[in-house]
Amino acid sequence: MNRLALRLLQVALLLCFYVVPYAALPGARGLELFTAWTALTLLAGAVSIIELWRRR
Amino acid sequence: MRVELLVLLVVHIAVGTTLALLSRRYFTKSLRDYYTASSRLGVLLSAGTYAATTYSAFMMVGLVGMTYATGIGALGFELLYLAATVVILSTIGYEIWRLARRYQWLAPSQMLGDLYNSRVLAVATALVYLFAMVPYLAAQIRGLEAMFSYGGLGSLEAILISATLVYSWIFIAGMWSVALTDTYQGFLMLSGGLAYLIWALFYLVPARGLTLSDVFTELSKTGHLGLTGFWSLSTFIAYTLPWAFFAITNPQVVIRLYVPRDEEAYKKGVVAFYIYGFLYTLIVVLVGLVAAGLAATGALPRGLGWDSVTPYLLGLMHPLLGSLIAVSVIAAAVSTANSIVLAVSSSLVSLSEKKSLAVARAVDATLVVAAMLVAMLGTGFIVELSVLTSVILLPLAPITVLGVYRQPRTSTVMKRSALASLVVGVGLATYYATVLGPRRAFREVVAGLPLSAWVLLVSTLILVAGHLAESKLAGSRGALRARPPG
Repeated sequence: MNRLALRLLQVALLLCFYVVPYAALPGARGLELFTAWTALTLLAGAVSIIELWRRR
Repeated sequence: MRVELLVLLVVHIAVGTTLALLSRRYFTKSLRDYYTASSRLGVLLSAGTYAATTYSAFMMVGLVGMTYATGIGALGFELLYLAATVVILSTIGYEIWRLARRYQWLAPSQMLGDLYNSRVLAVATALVYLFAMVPYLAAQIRGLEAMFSYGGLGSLEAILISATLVYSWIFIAGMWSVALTDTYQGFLMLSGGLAYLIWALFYLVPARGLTLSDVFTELSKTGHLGLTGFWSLSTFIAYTLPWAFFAITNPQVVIRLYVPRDEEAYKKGVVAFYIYGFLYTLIVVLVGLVAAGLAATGALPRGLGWDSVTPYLLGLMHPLLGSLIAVSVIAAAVSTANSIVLAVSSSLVSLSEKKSLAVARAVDATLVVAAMLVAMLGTGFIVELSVLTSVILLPLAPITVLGVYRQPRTSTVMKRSALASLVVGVGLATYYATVLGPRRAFREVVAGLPLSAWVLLVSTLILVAGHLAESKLAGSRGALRARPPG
C-alpha cells in the first residue's frame, strides 16, 4: 500500500468518528458507539504505526 | 486536615524532587538543553513526558464529570483526540522531529519563524502563546484546588504549593527534570486512574446492592450509551476540532517533538504514548459511565456539576485510596503546567537578544506568578477554559502544515498571508470570546458551524490564497525570465 493510500485511510478513519454516530448509527442506545469508536481508534493507531515504520 | 493526603503529597514531592535532582547529571546547562534536552531523550522519557503533558487534570476531573453528565459522546470526543494525535505524530510530527534536528529549534514559535523566514511571525506566535496559554495554565492550577481541599487545605495554600512545585521542577534542570518527573507522574496518573476504576467497579457498585449489568441496563435506558441531547453534531465538532489539531497547535506538545534522540526513540515513543492514551481514556470514561449509571439508579446524586463528580466520589472512598487518586490528579496538573511554562518561556526567550539560563529562569518565574494571579481571580469550568485555548491556537494548524510540507517559504506574499491567517483566526476567536463569554463562544453556532470550524476555515483560506498568489507570481516571473531578450 503506498503512502497516499495510507494517508487517505487515516483521514477516512478520522471522518468515521463523525459519520458513525450521526449517520450510520444515529439511534444507538447499547454498546454500539463504544465499540465503533474504540475500533476506529485501534484502526487509526494501527495504520499510523504502519505509516510511521515505513518512514526512514 | 486529612493526614493521608498530606503524607502522600510529601512522599510524592520527595520522590519527584529526588528524580529532578538526579536528572541534573545529564544537564549540560546550555539553553538548548534546558528547553529541549538537546534532543537526547530515549523512548521512555520521550513517551512519558508527552503523555503526562498532554493529559492534564481534565481527564480525572473534567472528563469523568463530562461522561457522567453527557454520556458516551465524551468517549468519542477523547478517542478522536487520540486517533488524530497518533495520525499527526506518524505524519507531520515525524517531519517536525526530522527538521528540528537540522534547525536545532528551542521553541515552536522559532520553528514557524524559520519555516516562513519571518521574525514577525515568530513574535506574533509567541504573543499568541502568551495570550492563550496563561489562562490554560491558570486552569491547571485552579483544578488542583478541589484536590487540595480534599486534604483540608485552602485555596491559597493550594495555589502556592502547586505553583512552587511547578516552578521548582523546572528550575532544577529544565526539560531534563521536567521529562523525568513527567514520566514518574505519568505512571502515577495511570495507576491512580486504574485504582479509581477498580474501586468504582468492585466496591462502589456492589456496595450499592447493584451489579454492572444493572448499571449498564440503566445507562442504556437513560440514553447515556448513545448520543444524549448535549451532543448535537455542532457541539461534537466544537469539542473535537480544536483537540484534533492539539498536537500541532499547543506549544507544550509541539516542543516534545524535538526531544527524542533518534528515529527509534521517536517511533517507539509514539507507540508507547498511543497505548498509554488508549488505556487512560478507557479507564476514565468507564469511571464516568459507572457514576452516571449509579446516578440513574438513584445510588448517587443526579445533577452534580462536571467538576464536582470526582471530588464527590473521592469523599466516598477510604481516605488512603482517595488521597492516592487526589495525588495522581495533582501529578497530572503539575506535569502539564510545568511543560506549558517551559514551552511559553522558550518562545519568549528564543526571541530575545540576551539568551541565557538566568533569563530563562526569570521568564519561567514570571509566567508562574502570572498564572497564580489569574488562578486567584479566574472563573469557569476547566473544560471550557482549556478547550477555548485550543480554539485560539487553531490557526497555527494550517500554518504549521503548510510550513513543514512546503518549506522554506521565503516569499513576502507567504510571510504576509501566514501572519494574516494567524491574526484573523485568533482575532475571530477572541472577538466571540469577548462578546459572548468563553463558555458560550465555544459552543456558539454561526451559520450552521461552530466557532472552531470558522476559525480553522478562515485561517486556512487566507493561507491557501497566499499560497496560490505566490504560485501565480512565481509562474509569471518564470515566464518573464523565459522570454527571449529584445
